[in-house]
Amino acid sequence: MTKRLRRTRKDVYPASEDSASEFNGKTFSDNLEQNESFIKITFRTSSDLVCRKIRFQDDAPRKLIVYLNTLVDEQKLNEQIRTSFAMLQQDHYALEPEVTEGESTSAVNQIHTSTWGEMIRLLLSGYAAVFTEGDAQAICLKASASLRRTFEEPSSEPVIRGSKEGFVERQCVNFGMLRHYIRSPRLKSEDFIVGDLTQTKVLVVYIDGLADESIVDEVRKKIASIQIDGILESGAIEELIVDDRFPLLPRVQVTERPDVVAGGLLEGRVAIIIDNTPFVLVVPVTFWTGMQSAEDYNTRFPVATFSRWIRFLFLIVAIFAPSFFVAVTSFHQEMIPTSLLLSIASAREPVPFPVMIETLLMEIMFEALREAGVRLPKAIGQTVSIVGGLVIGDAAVQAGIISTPSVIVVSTTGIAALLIPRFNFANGVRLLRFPIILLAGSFGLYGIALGFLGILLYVVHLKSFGVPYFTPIAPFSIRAVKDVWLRSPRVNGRNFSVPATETSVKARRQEGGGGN
Amino acid sequence: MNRCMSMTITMLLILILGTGCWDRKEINDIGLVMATGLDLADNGQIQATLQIALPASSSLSTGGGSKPGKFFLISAVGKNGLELEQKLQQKLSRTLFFSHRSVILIGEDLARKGINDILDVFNRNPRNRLKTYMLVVKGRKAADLLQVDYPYELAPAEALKEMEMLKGEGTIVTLRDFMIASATGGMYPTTGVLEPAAFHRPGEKTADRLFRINGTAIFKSAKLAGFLNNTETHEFLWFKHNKRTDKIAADMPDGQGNVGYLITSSNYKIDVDSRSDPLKFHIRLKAIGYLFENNTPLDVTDPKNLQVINKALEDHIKLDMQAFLRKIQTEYHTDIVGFGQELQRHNPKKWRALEEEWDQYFKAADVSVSVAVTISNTGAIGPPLQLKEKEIEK
Repeated sequence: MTKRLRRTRKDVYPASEDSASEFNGKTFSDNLEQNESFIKITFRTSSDLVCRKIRFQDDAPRKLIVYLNTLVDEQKLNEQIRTSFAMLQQDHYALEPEVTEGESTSAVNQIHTSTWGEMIRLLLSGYAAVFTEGDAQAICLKASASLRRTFEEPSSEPVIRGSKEGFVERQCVNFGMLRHYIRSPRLKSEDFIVGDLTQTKVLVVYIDGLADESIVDEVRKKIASIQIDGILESGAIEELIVDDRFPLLPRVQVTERPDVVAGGLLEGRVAIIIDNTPFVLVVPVTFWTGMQSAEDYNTRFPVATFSRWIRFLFLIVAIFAPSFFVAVTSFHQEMIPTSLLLSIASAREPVPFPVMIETLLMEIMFEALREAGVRLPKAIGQTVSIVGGLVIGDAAVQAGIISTPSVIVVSTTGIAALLIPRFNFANGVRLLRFPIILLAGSFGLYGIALGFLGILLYVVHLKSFGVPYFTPIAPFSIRAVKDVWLRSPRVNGRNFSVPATETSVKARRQEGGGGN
Repeated sequence: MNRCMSMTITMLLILILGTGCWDRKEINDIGLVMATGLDLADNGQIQATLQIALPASSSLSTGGGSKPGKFFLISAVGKNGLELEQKLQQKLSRTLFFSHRSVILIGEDLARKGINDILDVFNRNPRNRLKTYMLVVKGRKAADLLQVDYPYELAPAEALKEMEMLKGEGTIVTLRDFMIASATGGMYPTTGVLEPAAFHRPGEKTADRLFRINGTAIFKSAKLAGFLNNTETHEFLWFKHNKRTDKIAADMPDGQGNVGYLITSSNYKIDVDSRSDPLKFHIRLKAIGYLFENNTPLDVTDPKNLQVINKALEDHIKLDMQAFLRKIQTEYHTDIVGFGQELQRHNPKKWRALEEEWDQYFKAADVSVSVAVTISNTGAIGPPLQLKEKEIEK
């Protein structure tokens, strides 16, 4: 979408330029009417621009208040103007020498400015500008309306035990939530503005001393180098800061949960908060973080370890179950126990397709149902599951187009993919099984072995912000590997945060990068 | 970069296409052979009968209605295994698939003539399983028993396989065991024996055919030498490490009733005295088990009574064992237990001298038996509950 925007508007405005930069050098005039007409020309055909002239007392100079009523809470503005101007009124002259540009006279956010560029930028972020007759300076008051929804439980990552608060679309609120989790001055945040037209605020958050400095540097560099006209969602940032032309597996963690981000920060990772989206990015990630759920750390460790193992088991099922079925039934029938083979054989007797075609058909059908289920309004969802599950599944078996064993295999695989806790990771993993089904259908178990090797090679070669994707298995770290196969128990007195940083630093050392 | 890429892709393609197994066979394209029956044909050649599973289509099986056949048989006569396979394949639209064959039945006539001509094909082709069970059909043609419509399993071959797997009931011999015993010096191979039996379907007067495992067939240079009956077979099981869950019913002396004993673990040892002439062997049998049945007035909670029972069991086993030994020594002259092997381990030099004439030496050998039975559990009660107080012998 941003690409299209760029193409169509190129003739009018150069897209590469900051939205307000063309006004950077221009200063205000001291004539109120001139200022007003300049603003009205700049914001022509913007229905939300309000220009209002007021006079406090008969002999006082006239003032011009300019704001965008979509961004400004007018009640707040009234209060601000009343309090700050009443104060200014009394000792206007006494204050003036001290108040220079960029400074403010009261605790509330008040900025003095004299250039159009800055004033327009402030106007667009919810400030109201107040011009005074005969003065070439404007006072900008912050009175932004809080366009914020209530905190809700994140629907993409529900937990049974754990915080029910999810991030919202406002960046400052989100960062505030993190501050509630980590009350330390070492929690640092660095501001970036990305997107020439959208001027999206991007915040890089990390814990000083815990986060690997080289990773923070890399994130900084990559965000600063983004050249684009618009950022609407964290997906765009994710795509632009990961150097991979074919990112099948995610190199950043996407989450709606502040506790997950706080946990990541405590492990020395870096969070990227983007305005207008509740999804926060955490980097770097490894293959194994894709298999961990926020809840693992809230449950007792044997239970969490068990569910981790179940997930590993079903990760393998999700990738290999249909291909194993295809390979065994079309190449290696001697591997199936006799009575099972007999029942598979009788189920397959009326089916006209080879097992591979049958399985692919079912897999694609399943993906279609899933896709339909995700996008549908809730009211129709019921219909889809009935039509999909009962009509298609049952009728296809009854009609002898599909055999029951492959329905079982495909639905098991479908369930297995849902066990992967991080949805962006699961999406990538789901795609892996299609090439392997093809391999299994043409080469049998040998094809699966090839496919497995291919996947392993691919995963091992990946890196997320300099950290190898398979850390801590490869490169191996005995201290950190405990948290991969087990959910290692917390020990009183030992820091929760140490291992992850250690491994990431170690990993960087091994590849010869970094310097710490 | 491009050259490197194309090289990699070429090499990968060679790797994939050069190695892959291109023999994809759908399940619908294979004929599952469940059992093979081998018989002597009228012209002296071999007649092979294959039992092929008939997978019922699922719509039929859910519909109930008419009962579809669970299997069908095809047979052909030929000189050797390959010729038979070709002739059988000509009768079938699906590829014969031998990997799931669980049983090979050999008719008595063929077994007496010798099975050397046919055995090799079962071992050479890797698609055959060495874990296939071998059985000799006593007094009948193997093909007859393959026709039995067994009430439980999908195919009678499955039933046979599962019957064979019940330990302690009879001789269990797989192709592999047969080959090992056959190739070992100082030992002769054996197989289990299958006999026709009968059962009644409800509401039908006439009996349906069934089969039962009963006895042991003894082979001598791939020819059937003779059979052991059920009692002798159970003694033979001592040496096959297959005595677990075997049951022994022993009479008490003085007509005091009888006891039932279930063996939970057994062991045997053969001592060899190689210097003596004739050769002397001593078999030491050890068994641990439960007293399962007590049809005597004895109170088995008393160790003294238990000793009496022990003695009766030991005598019973000893007697049966001696009968078994007599039979293989004097009637068949075949050392199926492996005394020769024991001698070979004990005194290889002597064995090499006797090897050629082993049957004669074995026939003349002096074999003695001693038995040690341990009763580890007598159940929850002492004497039988129905007895009056004064009938019980303390």
